[in-house]
Amino acid sequence: MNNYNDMMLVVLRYMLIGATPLILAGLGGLFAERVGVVNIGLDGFMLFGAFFAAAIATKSGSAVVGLVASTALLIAISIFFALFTVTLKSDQVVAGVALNMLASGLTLFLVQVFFDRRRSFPLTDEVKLDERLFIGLAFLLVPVVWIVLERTSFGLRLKAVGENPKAADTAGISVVWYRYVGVVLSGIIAGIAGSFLPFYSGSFVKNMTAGRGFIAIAAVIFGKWKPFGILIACLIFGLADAMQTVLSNKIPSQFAAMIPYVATVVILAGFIGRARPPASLGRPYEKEMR
Amino acid sequence: MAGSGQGFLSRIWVELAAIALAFGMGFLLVGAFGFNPFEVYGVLLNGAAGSLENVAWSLQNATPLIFTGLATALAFRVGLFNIGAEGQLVAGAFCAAVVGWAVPVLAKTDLAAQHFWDNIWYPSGRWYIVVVFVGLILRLLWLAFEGPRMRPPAEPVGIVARRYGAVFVIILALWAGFPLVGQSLLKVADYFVFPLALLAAAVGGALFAAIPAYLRAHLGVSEVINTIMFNFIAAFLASYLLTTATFKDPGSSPQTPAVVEAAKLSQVAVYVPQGSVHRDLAATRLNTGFVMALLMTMAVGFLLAHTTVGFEFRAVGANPHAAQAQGISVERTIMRAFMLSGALAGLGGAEQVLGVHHHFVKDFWTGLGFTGIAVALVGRNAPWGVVAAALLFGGLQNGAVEIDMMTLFPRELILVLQGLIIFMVTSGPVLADLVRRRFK
Repeated sequence: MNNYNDMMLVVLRYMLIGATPLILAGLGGLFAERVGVVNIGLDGFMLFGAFFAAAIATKSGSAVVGLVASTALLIAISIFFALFTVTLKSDQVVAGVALNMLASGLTLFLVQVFFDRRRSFPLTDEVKLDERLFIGLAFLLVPVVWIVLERTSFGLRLKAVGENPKAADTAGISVVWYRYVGVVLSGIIAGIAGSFLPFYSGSFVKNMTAGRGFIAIAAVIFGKWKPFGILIACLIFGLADAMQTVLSNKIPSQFAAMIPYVATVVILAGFIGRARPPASLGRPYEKEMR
Repeated sequence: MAGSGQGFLSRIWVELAAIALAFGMGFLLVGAFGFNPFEVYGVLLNGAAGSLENVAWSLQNATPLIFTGLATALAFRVGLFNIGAEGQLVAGAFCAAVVGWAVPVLAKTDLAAQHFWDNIWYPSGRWYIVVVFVGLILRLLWLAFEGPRMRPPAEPVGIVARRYGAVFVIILALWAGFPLVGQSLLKVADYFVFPLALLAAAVGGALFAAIPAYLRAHLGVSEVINTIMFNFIAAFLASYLLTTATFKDPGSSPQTPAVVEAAKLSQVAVYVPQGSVHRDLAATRLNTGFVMALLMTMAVGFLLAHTTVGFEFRAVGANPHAAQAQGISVERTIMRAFMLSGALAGLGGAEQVLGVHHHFVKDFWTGLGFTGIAVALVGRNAPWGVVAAALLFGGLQNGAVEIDMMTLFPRELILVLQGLIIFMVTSGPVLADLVRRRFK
C-alpha cells in the first residue's frame, strides 16, 4: 500500500514536471493562435528561451538576470517572427519551420562560440532555479490568461483580431498591432517554458525541446483554444511523459521515449473536430485597398 | 503563386535576391563574432565548388536532398505540409537495408531459408482453408448488408466487383502462392535484390506516410504536427531495432549488416577512365543514385504536368472545394499524394543505404528531412527548381565541412543560413513588391 502511494507520488511529480513546459508553451501558442497566427515556431521559441536563459544565467551567475535578458531577447525574436508572418504575410507554417531551423542552428552555433563545446554545456550550481517556481507559475498563468482573454477589453480585442479581422479593423482596432502583441506574448511565454528545461535538468543540450513545442500546439488544439482546456490537455501529455520515466526500466527505453509522441498522435486523432479554431487562423490580413 | 503579372525571369531574380540577402545577413553575423567574413565565405565557397572533388562531394550531399525535396514539394503542390520526410526516409532506408542484406542471405543458405519459412506465421492445411472461407463469408455478409446503403441500388454487384473484386482476388492469390513464389524468387535473389530493395524502400516510406495521411484525409488532423511526431517515432523505432539481435550487425557499432554487392548502387567513378578525374570522384561516395534522383525529378515533373493524377494533385492544391465540386475525391488525392511523397523520401533513404553507407547506420538521417523542406521552398516546389536548390544546399553542406576543417568558425553557420534563406525566400515576393513601390 505504502509502495503504491509512493509510486503514485512519483508519477504525479513527473506528470507535473512534464506538464509545466507544455502548459507554458501551450498558453504561449494560445496567444498567437487567438490573434490568428499559427505558431509552428513554438518549438524554436522554446529552444531560444532555453538557450538564452541558460547561457546568460551561466555567464552572469544569476538565474534572474538570465531569465530577464532571455525574455528581452525573445521579444526581439518574436518581433522578427511577426515581421514575416504579419507584415510580410509569409506562409505562417513555413515561417514557423524556418524559425525552428534558425533556433536549432543558432543555439548550436552560439554554444560553440561562447562555450567552446560541441553540443551542450552545464549550468553552474549557483544558478539553479527550483522547478516548483516554474510549476507554480504555470498553474498561476492559466487563470490569469483566462481572465485576460475573457474578462478584459484587451483580451476581447485580441480575440476579435483572430476571429474577424475585417470587423475588428472596421471597429478601429489595429489588426497589425494586436497580432504583433499576440505573437510577442506568445514568444515571451514560450521562452519561459523553454527556460524551464535547462534549469530543471542542469544543462543545456542541443535541440533539448525535443518537439515539445509541437506537442504544446497539439495541446492547444485538444484544449479547444481555451486556457483551462490547455491545462487539462497538458496534464494528460504530462502523464504520458511521466509514464515514459516510470516505465523506462520495464520496457525498452526507446519505446518509453516514444510514448509522448504516440500519445499526441492518438489524442489528436481522437479529439479533432470537436472544437472550432479561431476563424482567421493562418490567414494574413489583407487590408482592402481603395 | 507569386504576384500576378510577373514573368518567370523576374521571379528568378527575386529568388536570387532573397538568397543573396540571407547570405548578406550571414556575412554580418560572421563579422559580428569577430571573424573575417571574407575568409569564412571563401572557405565555404571553396568547399562547395572549389575543386572537382568538392563538386563531387556537393553532388553526393545533394542527392538525398533531391529526394526529400521532391517529396516535400509534391506534398506542397497538393496543399499538404509533409514535414515527415525524415521519418519516411528512415523507414525507406531501413526496408532497403533489410532487403539488401537479408534476402540474399536467406536465399543462399537453404537452412536459413527453411528456418525462415518454418517460423513465419502462415496458416497451412485445414486451418488455412478454414480461415480463407471464414474470411470470404464475412466479406460477403459485409457486402450484402453494406451494399444497398452505400451505393446506388441499380448495380451494386458490378461496382463491388469492379472496386474490390480485383484487389481481393490478388490478395488471395498472393496469400496462397506466397511460399511457392517466394521460394522460387529467393533462388535468384541476386538478380532482383536491387529492384526489390528499391521497391521495399518506396513501400516502406509510403506506408510510414500513410498514417498521418489517413488522419489528415479522413479525420482532418493537421499533418504538420503528426508528421513531426512520426519523425520522432521513426528515430526511436530505428534506434530500438538496431539494438535487437535480429537486425543489429554483430560488430560494436549500431548498424545493420552490410547489404550485398548486387544491391549496391555503383559509384560514378566506376564509369570514368583512370586518371585524375577518376581519383577525385573515387574519393567521394558519389553514386548512380544521383542519376536516379534526376530520373525521379523527370518522373515527378511528368506526373504533375501530363497525367490525370497530376492534374488532380494540382487541382486539389489550388482549391480543394472546387476540386471536390468537379468530382475529384479530395480524400483519395491526399492519400495518394502523401504516400507518393513518402515513397520518394523512402527512395532517398534507399540511395543513402545502397549508395553511400551500405548499412543502415544510426542517425545518418539527421537533418535530411528538414533540409528537404528548405530545398522544396527555395525550389518553389517545381521539380527542377528542387534540383537547383538541392545543389545549393548540398554545396553548403560540404562548405560547412570545409569550414570545420579550415577555420575556427562553427559549421552550424549553414543551419543559420538555411533558416534565413527560408525566411527571405518566402517573403521574397512581398519584399520585392515593397521595393518596387518605393522606387516607382
